[in-house]
Formats: sequence, C-alpha cells, structure tokens
Amino acid sequence: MTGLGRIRLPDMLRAGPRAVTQYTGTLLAVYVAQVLAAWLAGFTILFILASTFGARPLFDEAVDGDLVALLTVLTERTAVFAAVGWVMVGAVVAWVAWSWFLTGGLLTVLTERPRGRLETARVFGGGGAATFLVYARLALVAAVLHLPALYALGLGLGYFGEHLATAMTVGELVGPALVGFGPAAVLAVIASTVVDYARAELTLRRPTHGSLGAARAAVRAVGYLIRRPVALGHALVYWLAWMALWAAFVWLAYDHAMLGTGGALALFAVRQVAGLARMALKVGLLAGQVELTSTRPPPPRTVARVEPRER
Amino acid sequence: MVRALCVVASVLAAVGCGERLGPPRVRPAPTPDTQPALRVPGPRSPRVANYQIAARYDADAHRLTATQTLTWTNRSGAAVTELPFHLYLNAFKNERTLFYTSAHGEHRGHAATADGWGWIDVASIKVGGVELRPRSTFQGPDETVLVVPLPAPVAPDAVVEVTMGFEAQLPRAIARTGYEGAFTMVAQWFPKLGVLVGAPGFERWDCPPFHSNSEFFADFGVYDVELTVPSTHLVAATGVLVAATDHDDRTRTLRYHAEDVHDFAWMIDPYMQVMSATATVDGAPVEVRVVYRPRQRAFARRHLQAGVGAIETFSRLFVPYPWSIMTVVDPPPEAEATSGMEYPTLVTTAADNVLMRPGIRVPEFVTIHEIGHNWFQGLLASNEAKEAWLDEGVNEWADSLVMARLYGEKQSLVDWGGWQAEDLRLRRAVAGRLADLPSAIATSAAAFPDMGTYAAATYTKTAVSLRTLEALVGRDRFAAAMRAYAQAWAFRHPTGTDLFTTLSAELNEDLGWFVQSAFQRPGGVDYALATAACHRTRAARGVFGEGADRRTVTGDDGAGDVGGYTCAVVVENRGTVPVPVDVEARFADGTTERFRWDARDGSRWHRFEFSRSSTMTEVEVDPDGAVIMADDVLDDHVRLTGDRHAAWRASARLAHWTQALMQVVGL
Repeated sequence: MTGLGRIRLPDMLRAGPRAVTQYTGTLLAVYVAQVLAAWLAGFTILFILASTFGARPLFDEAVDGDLVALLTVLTERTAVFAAVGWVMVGAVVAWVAWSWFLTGGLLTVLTERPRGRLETARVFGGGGAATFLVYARLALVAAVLHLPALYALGLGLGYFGEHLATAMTVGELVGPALVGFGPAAVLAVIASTVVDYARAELTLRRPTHGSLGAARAAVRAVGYLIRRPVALGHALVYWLAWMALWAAFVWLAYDHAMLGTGGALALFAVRQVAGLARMALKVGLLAGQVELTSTRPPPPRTVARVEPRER
Repeated sequence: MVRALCVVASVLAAVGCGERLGPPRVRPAPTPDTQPALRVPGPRSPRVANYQIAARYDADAHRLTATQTLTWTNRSGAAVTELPFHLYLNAFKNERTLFYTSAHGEHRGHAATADGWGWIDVASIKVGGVELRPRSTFQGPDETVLVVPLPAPVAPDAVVEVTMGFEAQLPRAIARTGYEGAFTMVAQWFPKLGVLVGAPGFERWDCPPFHSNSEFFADFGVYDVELTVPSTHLVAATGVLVAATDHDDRTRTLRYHAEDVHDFAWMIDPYMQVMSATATVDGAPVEVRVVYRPRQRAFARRHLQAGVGAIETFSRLFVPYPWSIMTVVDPPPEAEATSGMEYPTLVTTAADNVLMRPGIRVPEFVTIHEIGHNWFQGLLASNEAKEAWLDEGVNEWADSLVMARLYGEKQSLVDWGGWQAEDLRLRRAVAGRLADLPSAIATSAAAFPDMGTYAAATYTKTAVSLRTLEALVGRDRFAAAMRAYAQAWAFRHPTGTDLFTTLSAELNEDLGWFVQSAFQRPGGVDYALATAACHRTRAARGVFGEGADRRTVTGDDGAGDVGGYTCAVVVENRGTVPVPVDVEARFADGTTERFRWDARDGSRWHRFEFSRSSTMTEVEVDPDGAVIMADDVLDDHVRLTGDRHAAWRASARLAHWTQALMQVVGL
C-alpha cells in the first residue's frame, strides 16, 4: 500500500489491527511498562494509606462506600489525600517523559517493520533512544500548540459552569456542553494530531533527514493536516472509539457489583482488559498515522556536492 | 455546509438558553381563598402590632407606593414615649450601610450591583392627626432604624394608631428580597415596629440596625394588606386572599388577611404557575401550594411532596400548624439571592438543579427547613438577631427528625447511586472541627467574626449539640420535652434560657453543665485514645522472701505464665464539653466489653483496665455514634493490629485512575 496510491481512511484504519496482530508482543511490553509505572504509583499510595489508616476502621467503611465515613476521612486527613494526589500527578508527568522513548520506539518499529523478537527489540530500543531528545523538544512545541485548547477549555468551563448552575435537566446541558467543550476538544485533537504527525515524520525521515527539527516538523505537520483532513478524521475515529471503550468500562465496572475475592479479581481483569484495549487503540492510531506519513513527500534537504578526488 | 452549521449553532444556542417565556399575558383574577386565615379561628397571640397596608406596585420600576396604619397595644408595664421602626430596605441604599460594611461587599455570594440599590422613604408619620415625620430621627450608623417620638406617652394596655405614607424601591435581589428579571420577592418592605423586651415594668425596645448576619424579630398581630399589581402577574403572599378586584388600567387589587403572624411577605411574577396538595393536621386540611416557573415543574413536585410531609410531621412532633395555607415559592435560579427564606405561611425554597437527582434530597431539605421555621421562629418567635441559634439550629435539629421520618433515617439526605447519608451526620462530617470555632453558639448574630463562623455555630454546632443531648437523655424523653417547650412558648418570644429551663423541668435533670459548656462557651468534644494495649498476664518476676525462704522467679521456664491478657485503655477528652461516653473493647475471641466514662466529675482522662482470656483487637470510643458533636472521630476507633485490606482496595483503584490519566496524556 505504501507509496502505491492515495491513502484513504479505511486504509489507515486497517493498518491498526494489522500492526496490533503483527507486534502483539511489543504492544504487551509497552502495556506492561505502563502497568508497572501505574503500580509503582499505586504501591506508593498503598504505603501512604496503609501507614495512615491501617489502624483506623473508619477508613475501611469509607472505602466500602459509606459516604459519611468518606467525607470524615477526607476532612480529617486532607494533607494525606493531597499527598496521594501529588503522587498521582508525579506518576503521570513521569509517564509523559517516558512516553517519548516508548512512542519513538513504537513508531520506529511500525516504520521499519522488523521481523523477530530480537530484531524488534533492537529497533524499538534504538528508535526510542534516537528520537528521545527531539521528542522532548517537540513536547515544548506541543505545549505551545495546546495553549489555544487550554484557553478554550477555560472559556468553555466558565460557559458550561454558568449553565450548570441554572440547568434543571440533563437535556438542558447538552447544548452548553457541546458549545463549551466542543471547541476545546477540537483544538486539542488538532494539536495532538499535529504532534503525532510531527513525531511520525521525525521517525520516518530520521535516516535521511537527520537535521529535521521539532519545530519544523510541527509546522510541516500543520500544513499536511490542512492538505489531508483525513488525518483528523482518523484521529476523530480514535477518540470516539476511546470514549466508547470508556463507556463500556464504566458500565461494566460501576454498574455491576463485584464483591469478595472473585469480584476483586473480576474487577482487576476488567480494568486490565480495558487498559490494554485502550493501548491497542493507541498503537492502531500510530500505525494508521505511519501509513499516511509514509506517503508524504519528504522535506527538502541540502545536498552537498562532493568533487571526486584526483589520483 | 455553512447553512448546516448555522442551523446546528442555532439549535445549540436555543438548547443552551433554556426556556423562552414570551411577553406576560393578562391572567384571570384569582379566586379568593375560602378557608379562614387560622385553621381554628380565634386569637392565638397577644396581637400586639396590627398592620393595615395598601400598596401599589410598579413592576417596571420595582417600586412601591404605600400607606400603612399600625395599631399597637402597649403590653408592657411602663408608659412608652417613642416607637422605633425598622426600615430594612435602607440597608441596600448604599455601600456605607451597616449591612454592606458588615458583609464586606457581598451577602452569601451576592454583591451589590451599580443599578440595583434599594431604599424606603417614609414621607409621613401621623399619630392622632399630628405629623411626626420632621421630629423622627434615624438611630444607629445608617438609616435602617427610624425612631418616632410620640406626642403623648402610651400607657400600659393603651393603644396607639400610627399612620404612615412611604415609598419603597426594591433592590436587585440580595439578602432575601428584591427583583431579578421578572421575578420579584417583596420582603422586609414596610416600616416594621421593634419589640419591647425585658422584665415587666423595665422593658426596652429591641430594634437594632440591620446587620448582614442578622435576621428578624417582631411582634405578632393581624395583617390586612391590599396590593395593587399588574393583572399579568401572579402574586403569592402571607395569609389568605380574601378579595380580588380588577381595574381598567390592567391592574388588580388583591386583599390579603393574616392572623397571629409577625411578618408579611409576598412574591410577584408574570410566569409563575401553581400546584397544590393537601396536608392533614389534626384531621383538618392545610393547603400546601408551590409556585414555580414551568421549567421547574419536576422540582416543584418534589417541593410539594416535601412540603406536605413537613407540615404533617412538624405538627405531630411539636404543635399543630395553626394556619390554613402554606405557600412555597420556588424562585428561578437567577433569583437565588431571594431563595431559602422563611416568612409566616410563605417560604422560598432553593436548590433546583440538574445535579440534584431524585434521591439527592437537598431541594426537599431546603423546603423542610424553611417550613420548619414556621415553628421555630414563626410560632416560637425568638429574637433572630440576638439568638439566631434558637431558630436556625433548633430548626436544623428538628429538620433531621422530619427528614428521617419522611425518607428513612440512614438515607434521609442522600439515597442515590448506591450512596446513602443521613443529613445531620453528613453535614457534621464536612463541618470540620467545631471545637475550634472562636465564638460560642450563644452569640448574637452581629458579634460573630464572620459569616462562616456564624453559620457553623448557629446551624451545625447547635443541631449536633442538641442531637448529642437527645442521645444522652433518650430520644423519646427529649422529643416529649421539646414538644412541651413548643406548646408552652408558641405565639410568644422564648429565649435560650426559656428553652433550657423548660427542658430541664420536663426531663427532671439539671442541664446546666451541658448548656454552659456547649452553648455558652466556645469549645467542644474531642475524645482521643491515648493508650490501648494488652500484654500477657503472668506471675511477677524478681526476688521474693528473705533468708531461707528467699527465691528468685525468672519466668524463663514459662511457669509464670498464668494465661490470658491484661489490657489497658486510656481515653481522653481534649475538648471542653464533658459528655459521658461509652467505650467498647473488642477481643480476638469475638467478645466485646463496654465501659462508660462520665467526665462530668471534672476528669480529663480515664483508664480502663481489665483481664481477658484473649487479646484485645479493637477499641472504639462512642460506638453508637451518640456524641455526634465530637471532633476528630477518625482517631476514636482504632485497631491494635494494622489491616491493609482497605488501603489495598483504595490504592488499586487510584492506580487504575492514574493509568487512565497516563493513557490520556501519554502513550
């Protein structure tokens, strides 16, 4: 398919399952890395909570769904929960930085399509390491690109908040929710898609365009998205699928009582399956983006003329 | 494409903006009420201050032009030479009033607006044909109290008639009164006489300037009020409608009559509708009405149901509701500043919002609370400025009883999505440390350092203190004592002293220790478990005896182990209110043992020691949750051996949320 014609949305969507089935091991490895990072945060939180509340049965009642106990615990140990919150924030921020390496590795694998575990691992590691710094610089550009979305979100929150204060029915909130959060969501999707395509190009052109910088890649990605709106359509499909997955998870996890050891294991399994499915969606998104990026014309580059040496 | 986007945008905008009300339409004249003002006719109160008012309302300018005749009887033991009147609307005249300076610019989140000032201008005051306005003077830091010198002293039991002409500009909605859009709540709008208080023969006027923390205090009387209003508008008012007369200029005059009440408030709005139901009190009907805007219909049904339940339950618990109608005004959300307020036979409710799903009973609670004020202040007309806790806090305590009876004790406030909570316990949980409040409950409203302290002490701390006292003396006994208080003081002006004197007499107990420490001084209850430990019981080691009988016991051979455990628990009360409390120890063999510590002997701590065959696993102070006023309850129940199960469950969930966040912002 690559380079053989104009890529369309179905082609991009098909690239997702293909990549997931071909690089299932890579997907699982990345997912395990994420689970470990989350669990590291979880164990830190466990240590904090167990040392603070292990001898306080009221905390058990709070965790088991007693609203008054929950509010009592939150009110009387506010600092502990602030600490837990900061642990979570710290873990997420650390994951963002770690994601630069993992995304670089994944994109390199999807671009070079190595065979075999060892070769895949080598390509993954090499790609992640090679693109890490340029991805870090791209993150600065991404922060700027997301500013309009953040600004729109601030305005949207104010607008939605005003309507929320006076709304009587859920139906009355549909319009304000769309008006309030729609622009921010659209801007965020555009910004993240720009960053995704900049990353894909940085990875794809690394062998031939080593001097391609983060800012230039981002600018080129903006131009490309304008010329090929299918890229945005593809991202939109991803986010819709992502939200559908969340809705299914919420329905499964929160609308069904899971009690006892069996319930705990079931809940654990549901959480992991949902998390893995979301990760697979992300890999599918990257695969589609690589598919499309491979048809992009490469950026111009200066070719040094080398005169043959006289003997 | 552009056209399609425009259509979508229009639809979204329409959905976002809510209902379209359209221009007001002339309504048919309302049918006068057939029921009398009182369910059982006949004076219930001394009827000290009786008002006849005729007012014309300009709905465009939000202005009233009125005359009123006050017929006042001197029920005191001494002659009276002057009459002080509250001019509450002058509190909203400018930012130099006591109201605005004490509110630091805003009242319950609502600030003054540049175009929304309110005022009242009394142009004429006549007694016996003598014009007294030029001799009348404002008293205090602003123009909210006008003192009228009488041409001649009014002797005890004599009657004086005062005729006044006044004009009143309503403010943009603030502090329970004013207009917002087409909705107008007309409250504290006429010159209202102060109250003579004190020992017979030594009475003095109680008529303080209007402070932002303060509410109201007035004498009972009969009100006959004529309101001339646009015929496009619906009016709801205190009392019963006795006549409605249409005029040619698209106005109509509505005549209301109320007996044995101490205030008169009304609402006017061109878009409101009415739904009603009947409550039964002593086998007789009381009509409960809810006036509401169409988009609030679903909430109006909830308010109506709560209103009927409140009238019936308060009547059973305390004294029967004496009037024949109760009107619940459900203001539109933009007029929130007028919501959540009580007047005789008319209240404003609040909390209509999409977040208040059925089962989250905050709207019901507000209705019940405001209707409850028809007992605690409407009937038991305490001084809200001097003893705000006596109506607000006592009412909060009573509300929790009514909520429990109507919706079930465990889920009286929340029964939604698997969550349940009782109203008073939930509010106690979020109130924080009550012992740290810098002011005592028994503090006059204006003397609190800020609105937050006023609210915490007056509402929550009072209610949980009464609940604690209730648990201490027994629920049924306390209910009977409170009923006796209500019956003894209905249609009078009780004080806090009257409340506790009645309770002490009815309970046959001296409550002084509790009243002084819980109500009259800052502080609270804060139990703590200083020690909770067991060790194996064994024979003492060491050297025993002398001479040939001397022997050394080392205990190394295990012979000293006599089996069982010796346990000790030390409980402290780091607070100032010495409420007796139960302490329960639980043991590994599943047995429990309860002890009681009564700190009224002045002790600050108490040690319990006991021997058991199995070791202690948990200790809990106040296992029944009877001392709801206690602070820091997390530390009142401890497990001797840590258990990480709950921490595991919580951290697993938080780790999952962390991972979900990771997937949103990272790979």
